Amino acid sequence: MYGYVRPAKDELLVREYESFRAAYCGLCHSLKKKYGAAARFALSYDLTYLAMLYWEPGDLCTERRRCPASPLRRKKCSCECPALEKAAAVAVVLAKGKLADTMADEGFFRKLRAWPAYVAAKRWAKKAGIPEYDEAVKRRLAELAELEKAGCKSIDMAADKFALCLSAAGKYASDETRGRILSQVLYHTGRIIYILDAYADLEEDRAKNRYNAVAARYMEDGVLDDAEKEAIKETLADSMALMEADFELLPETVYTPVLRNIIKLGLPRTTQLVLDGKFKPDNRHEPD
Amino acid sequence: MKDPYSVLGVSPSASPEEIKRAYRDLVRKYHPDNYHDNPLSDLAQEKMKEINEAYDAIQKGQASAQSSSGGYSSGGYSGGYSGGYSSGQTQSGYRPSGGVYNQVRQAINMGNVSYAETLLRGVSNHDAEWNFLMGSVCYRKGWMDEARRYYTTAVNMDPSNAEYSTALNYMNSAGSYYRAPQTGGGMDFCSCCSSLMLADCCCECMGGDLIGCC
Repeated sequence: MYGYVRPAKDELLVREYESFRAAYCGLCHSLKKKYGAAARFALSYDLTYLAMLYWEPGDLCTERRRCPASPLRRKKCSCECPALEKAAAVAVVLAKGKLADTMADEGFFRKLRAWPAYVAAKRWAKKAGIPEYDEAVKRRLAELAELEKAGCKSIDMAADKFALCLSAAGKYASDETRGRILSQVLYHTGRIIYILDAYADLEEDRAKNRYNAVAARYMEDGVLDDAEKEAIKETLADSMALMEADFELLPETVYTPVLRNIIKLGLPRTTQLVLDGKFKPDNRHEPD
Repeated sequence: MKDPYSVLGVSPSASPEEIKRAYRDLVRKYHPDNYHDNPLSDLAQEKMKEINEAYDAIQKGQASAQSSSGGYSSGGYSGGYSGGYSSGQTQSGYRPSGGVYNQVRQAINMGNVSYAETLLRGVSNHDAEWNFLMGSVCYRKGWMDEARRYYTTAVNMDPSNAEYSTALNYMNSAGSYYRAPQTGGGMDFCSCCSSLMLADCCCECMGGDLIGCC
């Protein structure tokens, strides 16, 4: 994934930051334990956010562990719990979906480079044991590819397909009501990620003459003026407002403050950085 | 029933002012205005009911404890989730699509957004109400760009209609926090200075100098 969904670190309490890091490390360990060390590449801030959303009010299990990123000092890490396992399963399926996309429409050399990872990701996705989710992601991404090929002018319609990929992961919540809420929260998250990513890729897509949803919707004249930039910010703000309202319906857990920080401070800040062209997607970088 | 104090997130020893403040904050958070046209408004409604019951229970408890002093008058939030669209928007004039629009409103109220959309796609005359209803279908789907465009068109076509402008106003006020300029995260004055000092030290280690005066 992309790493857009991250907390505003300077606004977190130390214990909140430590619990966020424990979730990040916990997800990394969960990926390694079930799918092998190479599966760690599926780790990202976005999936850590998903793990925290799956968290149950009673869950709180941390221990200190070593890992290749911190071989000397043991780091606090959430140990195996259902939320992390579910997020790890979703992570490998999404990673496979993204690699399948690369295999479908990139050039020969990129394909060759992605091939080993794709073969491995296919194996992990099978092992994840959520074939219906795998199927849903495959279907949505295929629909998205169709829309992109047709040069879809509606940013909502294009973002919808990606948002539905994330939203489908909501049903793995522990009960039906939470599932309903999570699906909505994840839908808005997916829409925001898709639009931010399209914006960040504007230059590259233009250079390679590829479809870009932001360009198709806002840049018919080939330029993005301030009013159009403001419109992008506005539509993202609309999604964030809905996302916040939906999120507040979830029961409180140990991760509620971190998640609230992500939604109310982290995402708006990331949005600003992306719009200003200053965002650095160091998504596989361990939080420091 | 859940412990009323835990519902309001206060300790049983909290003062009446603290309880009232917690209650007000929660009411503000789950207020129907925040869940206007939201597919999860039923859950917000339940939450509001729980909060009101908890507040009333605490008030009653306190009233009986201080029986002679009169206590508080129950100030529970009673404004409602009036629940979506009334089907018979009585407007003067003959509206050929009125029947379809009523069906659309019913479908939206039942949560059947895709059926509402199918019905709307079948209407050829895209008047103000059509745009408004299409806007609320999009809003419920999370298609915020199109929702805003349809709502705006509806308001422009019929500026006097309160229903259309209310929908657009809700959207504007909900997103206002996120539209405000965001600060932080970048390089501030302090870290800029310290970076320069560090760069100067590095240069001096290598025999050069970046800032001549130090």
